[in-house]
Amino acid sequence: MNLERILYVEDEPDIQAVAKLALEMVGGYQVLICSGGQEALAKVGGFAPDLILLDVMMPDMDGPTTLQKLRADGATGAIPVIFLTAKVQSSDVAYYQALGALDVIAKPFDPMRLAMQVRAIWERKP
Amino acid sequence: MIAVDQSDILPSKVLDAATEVSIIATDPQGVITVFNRGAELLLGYSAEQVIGKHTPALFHLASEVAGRSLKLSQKYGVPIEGFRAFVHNPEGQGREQRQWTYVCADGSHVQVSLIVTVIRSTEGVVTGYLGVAYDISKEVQAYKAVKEFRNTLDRVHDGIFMFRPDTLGFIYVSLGATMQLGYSSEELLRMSPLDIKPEFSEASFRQRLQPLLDGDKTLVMFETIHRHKDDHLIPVEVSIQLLSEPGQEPLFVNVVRDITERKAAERVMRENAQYTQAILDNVIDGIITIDSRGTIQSINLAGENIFRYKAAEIVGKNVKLLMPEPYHSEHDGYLQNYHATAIPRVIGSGREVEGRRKDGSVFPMDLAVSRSVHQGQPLFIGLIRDITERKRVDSMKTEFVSTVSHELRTPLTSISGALGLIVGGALGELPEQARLMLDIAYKNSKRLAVLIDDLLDMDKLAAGNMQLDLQVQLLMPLVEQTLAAVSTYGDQHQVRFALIERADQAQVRVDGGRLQQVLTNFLANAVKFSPSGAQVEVAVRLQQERVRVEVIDHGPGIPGEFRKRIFQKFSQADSSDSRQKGGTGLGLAISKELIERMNGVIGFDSEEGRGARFYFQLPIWQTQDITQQSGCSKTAAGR
Repeated sequence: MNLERILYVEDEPDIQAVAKLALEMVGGYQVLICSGGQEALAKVGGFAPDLILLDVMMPDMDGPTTLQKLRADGATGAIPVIFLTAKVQSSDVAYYQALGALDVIAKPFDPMRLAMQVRAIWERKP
Repeated sequence: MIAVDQSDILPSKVLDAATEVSIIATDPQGVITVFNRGAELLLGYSAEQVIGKHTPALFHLASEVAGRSLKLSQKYGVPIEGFRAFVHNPEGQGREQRQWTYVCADGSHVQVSLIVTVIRSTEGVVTGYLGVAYDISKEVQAYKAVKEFRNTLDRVHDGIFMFRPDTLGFIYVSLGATMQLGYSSEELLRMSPLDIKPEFSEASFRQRLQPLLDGDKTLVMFETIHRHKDDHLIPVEVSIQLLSEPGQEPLFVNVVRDITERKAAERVMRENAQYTQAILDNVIDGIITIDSRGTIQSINLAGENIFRYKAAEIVGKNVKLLMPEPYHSEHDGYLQNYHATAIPRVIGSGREVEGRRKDGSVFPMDLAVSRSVHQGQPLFIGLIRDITERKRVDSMKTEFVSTVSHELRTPLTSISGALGLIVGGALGELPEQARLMLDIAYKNSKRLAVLIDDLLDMDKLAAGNMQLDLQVQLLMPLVEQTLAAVSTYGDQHQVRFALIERADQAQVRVDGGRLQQVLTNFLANAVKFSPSGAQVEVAVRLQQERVRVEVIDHGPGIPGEFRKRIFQKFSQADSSDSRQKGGTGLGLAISKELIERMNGVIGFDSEEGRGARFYFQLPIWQTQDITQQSGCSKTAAGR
């Protein structure tokens, strides 16, 4: 299985633009942006991503809740998820892992390295 | 004076008939001439034994006679002795009645009332003396008994009064009564209780006494006030009984106790209690007392407010009422354990528990319990502080750090991300000057990110909110990863790194990410202060039970004046306006906090002009189990 399609869930439009550019232009990935958890749940089936990049603090449905709902659905439960967030205390990290996330990338991220980081984590998945 | 002829002496039969009276006559010299049957019975002598043979001195106490003689002699100024002591006054006054002690033939004493009369002839010549004596032993005993009783009553501090039911007039008042009221006994014996009880009318007083008269009560007690002779009022406690003997007039016996001091003491106690209660009611913390069974004895106002119960609702109930599970079920066990072992679990120490309010809501509270004794029984005192607000503020602080972190980093992500893409060439070539400007903007956005991270780290460390994920792990991989991560930074400054010593078996218990943060800080500083082309050495060496990691540079070294404050916040060797080296000044302060939180020691050696050696030491862990850092390695750009 290759890493080709990434669903990026983020409510901040500016960060959406930077990350999309970084992943598409630097990583060569196909990226679909969703502005919140609800939109992501609605579109994940149609887009069928290989990986989901998920922000944590979002107004309509936060990242952890979105992940729980993804895991609860048989069709989306196995899609690997990486959190991309500024909320990265060690207690947060342990919590994300317990929910089933592969890893966490901290904001602010280096856009020139984001694609490489994502691939490195994706390749470590069980 | 009686003039009696010898022939007028009553016939002996008449004399002897008066067996209840002792009749003894003497001649003028005092020799007994008549000794009736009554005298025989009283004294135990026969007439034959004494008539013509003895004087009354035979059956008088010599000491008594001598005492009487002395008094008369002193009074009249002439010696009066012996028999003359009996007859001197009768000769002058005709008769004399006095109490004397008769000494009987068996040696016993009898108190008699003796009337001595002079017998004269018709010519007035003394022909003899007549002594008529009555046994007054019983009267004397009764009198002594009454006197003793009165003395006893007079020794009682309380006032004792006796008064008649019909007139209410006093017929007896004790010494204590006179002293209580300031009146003499004579004055009081002309008064009644109504004269000294200003709170009572006759009707209301008689109403008090009626149950005694009716036999419904044997004792009436009440408090009232008595008026002293000088008009001041005395608080008293009064008890009244009715003495009623068959054939005798009933009498009220009234015992009065002055309770001035008791009232004053009660007032002081009341004031002290009010003072204590005022304090208890105004302390912020709740105070609850329970007995050995856990029954609530008292609760102060703060306690009522905390639990939202009124005292009347919970005093007398078990304190478990105020506890949610599991404390509710466990409390009996605590008490039983303490009674059995005397080992306190909660007693004497404060701890954080939960309480349950009247509405069922549960809240966090600090509880400290101490033990005391009241009336011989154990009493437990609980001091309770509702810490709901404190918890909320603590939670807010933690949340604040997290929220600020997010709110600062979010726009920074956009700024540094966008600039990073441009500067990284992802969007094509740029004009030279534009690229230069964007480079500057990008570098400063990263610098801002570092500053935000450092400030938030410092705040967390200061507030005790820094959470470290401590794991036992090999040290060398962490060192090697860090060297790899900063190699680019070194290349940019033409500084190379060399790992000159290793300790591959050293295991430490650290937060791997935070340890890398410290080492990165050391390495970045070393690069910053190394000349172009220089080498920075890293050495990891075992020292008995510790492992020491050193970063050695060959730069200018640490200036003398800076050495003492090198690990302080915002401390930089060059703090002038033309500061060359950049940085936030927080790196070493944060490193120090982190290493010390990981049970390590941080320090440096340096000589100005001869470089610097920064180091940290950590305890080695001997455990066989190595916990590898899995998955999550937090990476933050540019640190």
